[in-house]
Amino acid sequence: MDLEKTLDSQAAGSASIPSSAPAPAPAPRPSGGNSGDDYLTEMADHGEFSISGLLLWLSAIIAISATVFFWFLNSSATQDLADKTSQKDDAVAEISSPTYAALETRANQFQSAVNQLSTASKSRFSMDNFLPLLYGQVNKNVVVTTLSVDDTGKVSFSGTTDSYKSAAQQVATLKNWKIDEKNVVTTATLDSESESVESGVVSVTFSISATVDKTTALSTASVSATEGGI
Amino acid sequence: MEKKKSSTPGFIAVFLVIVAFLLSWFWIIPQYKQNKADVAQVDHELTAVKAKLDSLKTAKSTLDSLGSTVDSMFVAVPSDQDNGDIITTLEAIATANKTYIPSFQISGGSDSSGTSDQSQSTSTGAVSVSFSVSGDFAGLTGFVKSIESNLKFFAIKSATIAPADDGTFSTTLQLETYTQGDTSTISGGASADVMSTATAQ
Repeated sequence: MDLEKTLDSQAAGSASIPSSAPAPAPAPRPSGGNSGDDYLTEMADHGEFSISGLLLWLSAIIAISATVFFWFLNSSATQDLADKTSQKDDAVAEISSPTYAALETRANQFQSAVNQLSTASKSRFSMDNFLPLLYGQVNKNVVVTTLSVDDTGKVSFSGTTDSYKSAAQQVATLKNWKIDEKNVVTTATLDSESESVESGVVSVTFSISATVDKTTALSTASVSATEGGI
Repeated sequence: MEKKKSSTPGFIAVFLVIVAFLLSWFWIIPQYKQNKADVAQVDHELTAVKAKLDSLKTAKSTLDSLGSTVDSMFVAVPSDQDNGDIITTLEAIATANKTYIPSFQISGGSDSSGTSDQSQSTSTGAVSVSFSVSGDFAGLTGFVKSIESNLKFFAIKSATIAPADDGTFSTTLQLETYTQGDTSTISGGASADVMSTATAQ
């Protein structure tokens, strides 16, 4: 019995905490007045974790997240580049097809033809009506030797008549030539004249230069209505 | 005894931060920037190509709608110089107006048959033709009228009329006719211009 009591008391003694034994540290708990930092500091003091380690790991996570984010951005841009390059290649292939190449050539040729016609038409001086109109301004007593016209409106006229007065009258005829109340000739000058007598007949050879106002309605004027020959 | 803290996790964290930084800074971000620049460039090119494609499609519909006008335009201003065609056309006009052309002189341009004077620039596409034509006054005026109303475009640069004693006239004419010139100098915008030209017509 004694032995059993002894064993029981020892067992009870080992289970109980002697009053002289050091008590384990109570778990610190944050009170209402203490800050979270104090709590973390206390935790760190007890070796449960370190603040610097936590910050390092947070930084690592943020850095890795940023890297992954940039990687996704880059992947997206790469994919975008591939898509657009593919679209461009398709469009270029379409343009380079024989159908479109021929079409482009035809369009360029047409445009060139239009440009040529446009430019040439602006400087063109339509003479189909002007030459008869001009010839209608030759006085009856004048024999034309040559009559030249160029597309700038310059007229050179050489002929023969019976007197100086007739040569001057020819200049006057040109100066007085009007279509729709508008003078056709802006300048007309008697460049030269010379008199000769053959078999008692006087003849005066002369040359006139004149400038025609191309803005007058030369192409629509009636030939008979403008005949000014004397 | 105080437990010794391990520094390995801290080093791993620092290593990961450094690796992530280096990876981003020296590889991913430059590549991203390059890709964005390339995308902008390709986008620009794609826009231009699409615009040209649209322009060509519009030109096609415009040319189709113009129909025979386009062919007439190519007769008026052909792509190549053909001196034989020029001479044949003028002779036909002269015959129709009972006039006569003794000779021709053609200069400028580049004859497709290789018989022309090629000393002048071909870029303008202008071909100069000089000749004399003889006949009565009505025939000459009819000749001039036919030249100017011909489908093939002729511009009379100068005309010199000289009456002869027998009542006929000899007229020396200097004409210009045109080819399309160097169409390669026309940009891709020609297609859009065709549209505007057609609209004007």
